[in-house]
Amino acid sequence: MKHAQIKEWLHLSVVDELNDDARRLLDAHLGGCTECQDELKELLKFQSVIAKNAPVEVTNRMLLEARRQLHLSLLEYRLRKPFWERVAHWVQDVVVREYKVASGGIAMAALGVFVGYLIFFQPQKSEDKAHRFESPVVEQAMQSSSGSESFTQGNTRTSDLHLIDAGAKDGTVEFTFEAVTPMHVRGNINDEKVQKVLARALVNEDNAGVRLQTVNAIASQGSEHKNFDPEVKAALISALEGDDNPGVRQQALRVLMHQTLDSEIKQALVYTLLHDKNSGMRIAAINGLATASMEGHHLDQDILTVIKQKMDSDKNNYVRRQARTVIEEVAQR
Amino acid sequence: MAPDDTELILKAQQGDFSSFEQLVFRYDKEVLTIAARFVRNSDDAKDIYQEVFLRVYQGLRRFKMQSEFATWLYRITTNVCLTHRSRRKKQAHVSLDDEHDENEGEPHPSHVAVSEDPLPDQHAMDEEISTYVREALEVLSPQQKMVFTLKHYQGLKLREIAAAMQCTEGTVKKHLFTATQRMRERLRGVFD
Repeated sequence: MKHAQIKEWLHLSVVDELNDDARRLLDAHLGGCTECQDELKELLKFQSVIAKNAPVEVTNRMLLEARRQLHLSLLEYRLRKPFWERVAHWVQDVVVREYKVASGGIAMAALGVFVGYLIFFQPQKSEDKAHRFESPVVEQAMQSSSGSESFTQGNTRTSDLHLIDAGAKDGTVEFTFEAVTPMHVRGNINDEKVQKVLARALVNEDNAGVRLQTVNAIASQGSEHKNFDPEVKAALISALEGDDNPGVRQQALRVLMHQTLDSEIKQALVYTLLHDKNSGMRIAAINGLATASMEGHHLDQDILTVIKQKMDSDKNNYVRRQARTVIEEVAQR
Repeated sequence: MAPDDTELILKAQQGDFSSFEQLVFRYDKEVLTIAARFVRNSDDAKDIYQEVFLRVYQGLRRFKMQSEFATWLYRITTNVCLTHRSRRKKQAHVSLDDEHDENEGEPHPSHVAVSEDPLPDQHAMDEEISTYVREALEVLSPQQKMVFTLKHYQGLKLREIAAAMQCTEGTVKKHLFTATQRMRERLRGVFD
């Protein structure tokens, strides 16, 4: 038997990884080979020294520190996640699902309307049907208009037309284009449908001034209809957490503070407290949480952990002081 | 009776955070120990610990329980250790060797000014050997060091190490033998 094989078995035997058959063969070999007996002694000695001298033992203090840091990181991760989830859900729920439902009908209607428009040259008929290309919310709003609000549309403008196939002998043409229909809406801000249209603008509009006007319009909602539709609330929370413009974020926070302070809104406040670089926003967020606490709303352990962290580490004096007040107030209960 | 891993995983997958934490607390000391032995710097070890459990948290929903949770956890731990690059190379760092826990046990031998131990020489010698062993570990490649640590200090079987490192048992054996040879050469004369 080769010594190379025996040496491998020696290594395996000292770390208790040798199978029974190999062990029997090894024992038989060791009986008559002093070189391998010496090697085994060396390996056992090495093994014993290594076992007695573990490089480091983890202390409880180190473990507790690691756990505390992990807890904060996970908390941050959980607070950050809903924003993206909300956006994803928003896209999925609002655009994809409704689009899927309506897409078949819309596609057929579009084909019919525009082939008719081109072939028979009757623009009035195509205008009658053009509202089918509007986003589902507006379309739904138009269909269910109750009389207290009005949705009217202007002329549909088409642009970016690309011919895919033209000049066939039978007259068939195939093309794509974009259609834009200006809408005029007059309604009450307390109306859910109106709010939803504004909420979309709050999320999608590129112009910060328009977003600010939109959130101001939502803020003007009367007190008789206090809690928003979930979609409107999600748009406001998205604005609070992610809008580039501090004015929009501040107004979104102000509007949300007039809602029932549920866990989503409280988490949005905590997210702002943790991540907003604008100290004014952090002050508004800690004030919001302080108000919530004084009004008897429950602040769970995760929220209190963040507030405690802010009490020690926020760059702004006021935020630190207010965070301490909240913690003391909660402790006194 | 304490819930088993599967029960905790299922609850954690449904968003129960306290079940996730229970699961973490079952294994986290081991993860931190592997990390600490691998990097020998408490800040880096804590970074690895955090990275491991953040990955576990993010990936738990996709965990299909086709393997043991511990195997999956070791796999993540070894991956994170092997790809970890210290962010504190240029900073003065706190070595684990210099730390001792004020709240538990005896202080580090090097911190004892006047010892009442009847065998102070033995302590000093043990400490010296420990230092040599730590230094010898540093000459190994990351893979060799990981295999050596998992085998000798965590007591894992070769097949478990192979599963964690996503390689064959033969590769693990090769790393272990090479590591042992290099360590023996490095330590030759130290414990004769």
